[in-house]
Amino acid sequence: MVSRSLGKWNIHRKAELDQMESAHGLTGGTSRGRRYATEQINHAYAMLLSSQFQGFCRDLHSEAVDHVVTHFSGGNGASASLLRANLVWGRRLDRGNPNPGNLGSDFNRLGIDFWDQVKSAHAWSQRRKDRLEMLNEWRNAIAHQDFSNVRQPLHLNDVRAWRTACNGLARTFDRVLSRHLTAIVGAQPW
Amino acid sequence: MIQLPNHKSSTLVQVGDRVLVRFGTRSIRAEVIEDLGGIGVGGRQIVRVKALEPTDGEREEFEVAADELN
Repeated sequence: MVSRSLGKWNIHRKAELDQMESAHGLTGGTSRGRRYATEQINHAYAMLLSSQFQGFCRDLHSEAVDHVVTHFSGGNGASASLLRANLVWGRRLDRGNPNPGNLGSDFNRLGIDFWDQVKSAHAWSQRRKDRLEMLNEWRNAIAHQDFSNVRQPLHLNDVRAWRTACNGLARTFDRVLSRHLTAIVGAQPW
Repeated sequence: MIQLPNHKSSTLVQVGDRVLVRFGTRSIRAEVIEDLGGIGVGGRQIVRVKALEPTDGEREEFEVAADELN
């Protein structure tokens, strides 16, 4: 069983990202114009990947918070609203990129050493974390049209590698949160 | 093969709905600004709301479970 957030990532968010793959494939030819077009699609693909991963992480955080709130509020709606509001108050994922710093800051508030747990859960987590960092550097570069901190051009294989890293991190986040919530609320969340 | 939780989610409120959120000992009028879907416990709907009245410097936007709204 996986979290609803991971289910959504694996189905709905995947479908959105697959459309960018299709758009890339539909841009035919070998001309210079085609190269420019595919590079712009790669930029859009990277932006979409970062925003979809941000959406997944925020969903997972909200889902985890709901388990904590449900357990500790004892069915009292007024307490639940208060507790939930405080757990998501100032959440960095609501405004900022899903970079490792923001992810750690938000998930650590649930009482977990997030990145330590993620790294010990999978041998490739550090490499995936580095790729996530690079994806977000590119996201900022594209958003601000300032490419001084990234190495151009952006290739489709770069975005695909980041997507693979996000897929791996999503599965690990899901598993780490499940274990953590089980430990603090005494029941498996998913 | 992706295995999803087998609870059905239900939509109780929609974006744009005006709702009343019980917040501690008082209630705040708010508007639903985002539907996060049935990601809560047992598939319950979680939404993001924006307060429609002054909140004394407290949070103006926050998440609530739709079944906790009035």
